Amino acid sequence: MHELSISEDILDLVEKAVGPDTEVTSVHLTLGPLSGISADALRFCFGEVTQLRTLGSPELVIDETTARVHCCDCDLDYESRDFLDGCPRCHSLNRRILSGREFTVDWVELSEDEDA
Amino acid sequence: MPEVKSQKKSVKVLSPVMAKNDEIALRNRRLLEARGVFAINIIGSPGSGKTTLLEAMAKHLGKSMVVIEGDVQTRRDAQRIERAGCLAYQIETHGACHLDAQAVSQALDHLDLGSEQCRILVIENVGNLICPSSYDLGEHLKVGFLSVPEGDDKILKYPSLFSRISVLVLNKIDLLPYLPFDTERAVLECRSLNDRVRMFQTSGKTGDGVEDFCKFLLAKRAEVLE
Repeated sequence: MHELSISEDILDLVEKAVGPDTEVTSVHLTLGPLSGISADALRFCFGEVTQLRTLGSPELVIDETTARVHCCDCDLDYESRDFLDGCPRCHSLNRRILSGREFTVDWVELSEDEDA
Repeated sequence: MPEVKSQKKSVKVLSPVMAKNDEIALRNRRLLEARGVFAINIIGSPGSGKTTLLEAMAKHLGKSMVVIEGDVQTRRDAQRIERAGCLAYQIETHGACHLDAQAVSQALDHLDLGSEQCRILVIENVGNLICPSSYDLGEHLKVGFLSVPEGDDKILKYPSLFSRISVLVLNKIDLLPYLPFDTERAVLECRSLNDRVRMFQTSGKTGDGVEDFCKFLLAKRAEVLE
């Protein structure tokens, strides 16, 4: 599962931001539906990988966003998670996807014993 | 006694998760451009006919094409490409379900990038429609690969890949008379994820459409590099 190596990459970014041997209580991500990543698999792998690091046992908090889509036929802007259905107004598949690939580490929360 | 509320400290990170891979991918792309190499990344299911198509492409591009093969294990695909007359370098991931920029960077060290042979680099990714989509390898063109027997309903099942490709290759078109594959539906659904996608229909077996695809790659190379 590549969510395992991605969990390592997330913890590398966290460690770069807060330093090693820092007690982190939560890591906050944004995950879009076009990222190609499974949130469940990521949570599982993250939990396994944190045990091998020195950043405490942070919870992985994932904001799973929807994608913004523009209908090129009726000009409606709408949100979609699975892209299976067309425009909610005119049902067209003639569309432009405006967002949905987000996959970022946004912020982390430290234990109150840590200096930020 | 009043309850003391603990003050949690927040630290902003604001980084794409794939930053490390993307940095290496950018280095790969710059190196390839500096050496006059145009690279494509072909992503498709196991058995969709990627290697067979490359064998057919070798007939047209053989003297200018080099291949990086990605598989979990065995050198089978690289050996097939070599027998077809092209240089090939095999990456065995031994478990990883995709190639990443680091693996490709290491493979590039083994290729004579400045040579006449190395004008077009084809990276045949590990057979998989999901995981490879997240990894920029440093290519100039990401190619989605679908074969007729897989069915015309697959594109919306894998939006992460099909929304990212510039080119869709529909392969095994020699089987169209025998299978209920609705080509118009496949194109419509692909365009619904990616309005700029360009489609090529090919048969690695009969050679149909292969020359057109090769000419397109040479033209794209000229556009990007010259």
